[in-house]
Amino acid sequence: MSQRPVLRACLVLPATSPEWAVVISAAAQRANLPLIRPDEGDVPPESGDFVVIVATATEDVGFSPTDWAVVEAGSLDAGFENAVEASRRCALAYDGVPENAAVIKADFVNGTGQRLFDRLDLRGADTGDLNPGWRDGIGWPVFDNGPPAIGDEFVLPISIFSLDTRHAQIGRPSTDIELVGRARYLVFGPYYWLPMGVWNICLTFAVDAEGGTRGFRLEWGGLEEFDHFNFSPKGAGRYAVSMDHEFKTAASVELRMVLAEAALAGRFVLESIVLKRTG
Amino acid sequence: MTDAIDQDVGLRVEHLAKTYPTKGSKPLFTDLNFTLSRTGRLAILGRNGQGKSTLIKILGGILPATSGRVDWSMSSSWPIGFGGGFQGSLSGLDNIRFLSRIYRKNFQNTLDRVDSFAELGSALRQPVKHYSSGMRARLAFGLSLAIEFDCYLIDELVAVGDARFQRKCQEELFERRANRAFMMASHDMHLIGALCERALIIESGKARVFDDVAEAIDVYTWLRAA
Repeated sequence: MSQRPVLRACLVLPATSPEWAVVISAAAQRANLPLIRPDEGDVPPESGDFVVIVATATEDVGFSPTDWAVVEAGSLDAGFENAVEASRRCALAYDGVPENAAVIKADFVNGTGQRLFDRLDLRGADTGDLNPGWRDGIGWPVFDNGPPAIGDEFVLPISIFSLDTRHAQIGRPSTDIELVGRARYLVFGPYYWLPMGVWNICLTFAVDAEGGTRGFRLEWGGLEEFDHFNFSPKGAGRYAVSMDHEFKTAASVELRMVLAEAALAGRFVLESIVLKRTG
Repeated sequence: MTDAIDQDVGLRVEHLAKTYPTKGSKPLFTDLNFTLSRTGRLAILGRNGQGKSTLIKILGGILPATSGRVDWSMSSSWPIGFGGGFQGSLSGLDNIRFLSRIYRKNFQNTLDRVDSFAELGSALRQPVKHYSSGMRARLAFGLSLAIEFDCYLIDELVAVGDARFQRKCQEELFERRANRAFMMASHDMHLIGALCERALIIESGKARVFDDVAEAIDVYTWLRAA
């Protein structure tokens, strides 16, 4: 007679999703499966099956879980501030979560035949009360398919960045930046959140002959800790500049493309910005 | 609305370019375009030899442009600080008399005002060719103030005379004639920042007008340090 494998699972349930706690608890009771809440003083038993509830995957639970799941912290409707907040919630929820973790959204509840950890039947819960999960199309594609894995690449919409338009020329797109003026930021943003890991940013641009004589600096990282790279294109043409930064914890991220010296002429045309998880 | 804006424009420069006609010479500036209102104050910034004085001389009608147009709809001075244009064999008095006739001004009134300002005293009776460069500049400055122009072209004004005289120049120009237009070439960033609302930078054949004079000063400061 085959025995069911021991279940010592870890469920990441962000504090911002308390409505899910009710659904999980009800399903655990029906399955006669203990839920361990270290934040309430619970201690995992020495044997038997159980599920530990944590707010983030970086908490030390004192054992190696056999299974992982994370409740996606969810998105809010419209508006930049809410979109950044939604990315913060997701980044914190996914911080340190293994790539094979199950992702729980409201549609998981309605899924046919799905059971969390093959034990907890969540069907029947009123999804109207549940946080729906991350929504696509709010400008930050990083969480569109759940937690980002190593090797995942995202083309970021330029609309989520701020561009220097001080000397904007009528009839030219905002990505066509006049370099005339003092040293300053040309491109900066977007302040959305990423989970921990090594992230590479690659910016593709074109400069004219005058722009090619200027010095630039790429800065990439969190708001207070970042890496930088100084360069000069040495002539007109299309160029790509990229760099890695290791985020030791979930963070609001910022890219800054800096004109490092004053200019009396020259053009800089931003073409694309690509984000990739490399570690 | 357009007519009202155009009436306020005292100087219009279009596609102005200057290259000295010597073999291998590079353009001082090309395709320079800007306007100056009747009360506008435009600084001209640039390192030595980049073309500031040449531009002012073109605007003042002393030098020809290589191409482009300069359209004045207000009276403009000759470049103040420029001591040329006087008849060297004539005395200061005779030069004053000559210019009074050209500009249809009363000679005695003009003489009184020039004498009061320039402080040349009996030197006015000497031929101008015996004047020092500073004396020439003071005579020229005094004459430009006496004739009363709508726009003053100023080329390194503060280099003229001692500190007391320089203060006198600033009072006459920027305080008693505060409602006139100015175009001023200077290395004094403090003066530029205090008096001008826009700035034009000339450097390595390029010229660019900045509506933010603080930004222009930053850019020029970097150019000087580079």
